[in-house]
Amino acid sequence: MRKAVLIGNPSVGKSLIFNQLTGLGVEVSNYPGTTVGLMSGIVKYGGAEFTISDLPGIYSISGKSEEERLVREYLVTDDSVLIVVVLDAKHLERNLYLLLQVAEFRKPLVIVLNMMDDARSAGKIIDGAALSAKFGVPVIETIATEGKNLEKIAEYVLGDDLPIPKIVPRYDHHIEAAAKSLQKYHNLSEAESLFALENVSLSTLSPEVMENAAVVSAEIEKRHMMSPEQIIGANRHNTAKSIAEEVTSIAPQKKRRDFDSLLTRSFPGIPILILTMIGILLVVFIVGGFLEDTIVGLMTTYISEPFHALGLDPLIDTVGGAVILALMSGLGIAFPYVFLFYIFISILEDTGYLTRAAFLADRGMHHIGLHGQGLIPLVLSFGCSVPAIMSTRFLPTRRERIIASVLVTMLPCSARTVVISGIVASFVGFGAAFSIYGIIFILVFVLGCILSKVTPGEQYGMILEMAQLRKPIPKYVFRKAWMRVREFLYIAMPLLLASSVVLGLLEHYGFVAMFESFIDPISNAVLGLPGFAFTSLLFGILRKEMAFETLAIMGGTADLGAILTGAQLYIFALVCVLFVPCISTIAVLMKEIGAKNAGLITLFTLTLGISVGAIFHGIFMIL
Amino acid sequence: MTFELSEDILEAILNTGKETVRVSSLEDLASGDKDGFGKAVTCLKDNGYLKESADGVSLTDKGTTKAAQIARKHAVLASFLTEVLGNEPDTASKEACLMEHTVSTETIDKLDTFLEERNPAEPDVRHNHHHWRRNPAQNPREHDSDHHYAGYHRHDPARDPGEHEVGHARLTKRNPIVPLSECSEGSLLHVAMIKCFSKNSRLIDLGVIPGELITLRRKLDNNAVVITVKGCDIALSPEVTENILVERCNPQ
Repeated sequence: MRKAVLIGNPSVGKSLIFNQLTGLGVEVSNYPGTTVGLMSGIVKYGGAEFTISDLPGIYSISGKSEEERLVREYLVTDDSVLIVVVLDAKHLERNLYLLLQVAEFRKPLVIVLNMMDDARSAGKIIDGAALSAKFGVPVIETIATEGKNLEKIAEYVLGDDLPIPKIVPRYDHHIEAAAKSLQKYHNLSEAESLFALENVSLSTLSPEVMENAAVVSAEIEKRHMMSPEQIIGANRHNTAKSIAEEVTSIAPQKKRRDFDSLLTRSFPGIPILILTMIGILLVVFIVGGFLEDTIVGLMTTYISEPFHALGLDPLIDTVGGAVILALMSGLGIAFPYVFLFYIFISILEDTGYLTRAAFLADRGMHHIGLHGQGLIPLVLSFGCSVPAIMSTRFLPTRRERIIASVLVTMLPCSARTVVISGIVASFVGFGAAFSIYGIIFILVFVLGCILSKVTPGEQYGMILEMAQLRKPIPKYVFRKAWMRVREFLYIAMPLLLASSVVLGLLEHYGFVAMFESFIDPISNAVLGLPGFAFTSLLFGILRKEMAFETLAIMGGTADLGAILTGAQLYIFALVCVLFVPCISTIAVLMKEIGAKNAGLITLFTLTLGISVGAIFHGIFMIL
Repeated sequence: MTFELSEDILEAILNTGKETVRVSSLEDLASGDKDGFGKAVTCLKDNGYLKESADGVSLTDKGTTKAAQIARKHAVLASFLTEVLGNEPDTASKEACLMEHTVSTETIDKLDTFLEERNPAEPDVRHNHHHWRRNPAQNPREHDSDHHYAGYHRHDPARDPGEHEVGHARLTKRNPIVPLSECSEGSLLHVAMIKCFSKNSRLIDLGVIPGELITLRRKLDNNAVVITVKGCDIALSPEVTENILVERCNPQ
């Protein structure tokens, strides 16, 4: 089966093309050994089929980021792929830079000129035929939002005419000479010799080649007062510029309103940003909470209760009940929170507002070692940690992804808010409930400051392209949200099921009771909590609210004030909120930042929750 | 006549430093010939150098490049006339205005090199921070020349920008090289160089390279900025902004 890959700058409509070609049958997998997501799907066209992968959006393939390295390796090592380069016709010149780089691999390639409609309304008419002649490969002009001409991509991939690009950018003659001699002595391809000169590592380049290239590079740098990397970059940009000028003709522009004068100024930009974030949070909080109650309520009435009423063998009853509980927890997060949040996030993303928000938030995020893009996970985390952690993949560096993930797991999600309001606000008082929020915010801030100092990896400034402001298309917004839900269920369900069944069995065979009597003295000494309260905290890892529900069940009364003192309830809520994220969160953490880091975060929050609880127990004792 | 007037109009708009300029404010250039002026403006719009909006006219990317080329010719010629021939600055500027329309880019480049060689800065200073000129690579016609980069030097980023005035006696007296963070919103700038390059290599990918023309779209009070480069808006953190050194395009 033929194999094609989509390559292009971020937000050129690559994913849209991918989605339209593949439909919903898409697999999300990781590149081996990394957390960079690779979307692959099968395209059926005219009785034949081929696989297509959507490589991450990049501006260049010679950079140091994980994404760039992956695309580079992919192109060097995989000989069978057909390259589909997607260009934004409106920003042709900038997009040609990447195309020129990719063309140097001398592999079958087709150019997709997307957003032809946008380019036209911006007053640019691109001559596709001229561009095709320049590169010696076919050019397909598309409007992905309308699905226009996308079938031609499939026709090309399945067809027999697969020309190799012939364009050669003109490089500075020292660079050309150096590249030629590297090619000759080390038997390298054009692209490889340039990578070597740019000091870009590649699995096919031996240390010896890199060393030789470094010597030549140093000489060139001395002569030009400029590194080969910069010279090669400037040469490519010049080639891109002259090609763009040759194939573009100017037409009258359509007027468009400049919303950026509102959105990117401190005023009214920041108030708009705050209102947007609070608005989203409130809607998700209220609607999400309602949906979750409905889903859990319906499942309890129509599945759980009838199942228990069957009066099956106690063991089967326990396992079945645990499975139902896991399904309830998973679905209770998936639809109300993941789906709803991703609808909003897709809207923010597709409208282009997300990049403006990141620009404005950049300053505040700096204190905690993050950049503007870090705002999204942090805001999301107030609703649900799961989509918040899933959204950390928008962050440019691994360092930021780790910092954001740690902070996200600590911020109170809506389930934890239920615990705080259900226990502390109801039985202790509003002031006490707010003080828990205060404690968490202080901890998050302090931790952010510490993490920004100790997390490995360099801190880069934000360099972020502002996406074009445009109207989102509902169909794709829903499709994106649905993909996230599927992804979440796929990664979280197995863990949820397993842990729920294990907990159920432990309870069934009396281990929970044993644990309770074992932990009772320790729990009493450290936290001042009776054993049953600590045990119910364990159930919180399935769903945070379950700690609260279990406490009521184990205490035998819904009037918690009657069985525990105010101080005990306060400590219970504090520990519950801080310690160990729920299983779904852990599953997503494992997916995004690796099992080791997920384990460390879990261990850290466990320690933190218990220590903070112990400190407060100490304070209450003294008082 | 229309041709020279057109170039003057582009240059005048660039020199205002504003994005949009009212047509009426440019009518001084017409020197009485209102018909010719109208024709010139129409011609510029038809060729994609200018765009008209409700608030007036503004330069397109193409127009900005053209205007910057003319402004550079003007600056080099004026320097030559004052420094080599010893003309009065006022007369020199007026004559530069006349010559800038006919002189070729090659001549300007050679003249610029001549001025540079004739008037080097004090040796010890020069050794460390070289004279900076606009990247000749900006001009496609020069693309093939061997000394593509020879005329383009880096200067020592560690030095205070103010010091460059010694080494950039001519162009930089008007246009000192400053960090992007010190420029004001709406200004049109040439990228002079990028400090801490290896940390900011993403800038190259986006086309922020020495010699590139950029517009400072937005600047927040913490020096976070949005710039327009190659028609795309790019947001930059303050720590990136201070590493980009630029030259103002509108000599005051």
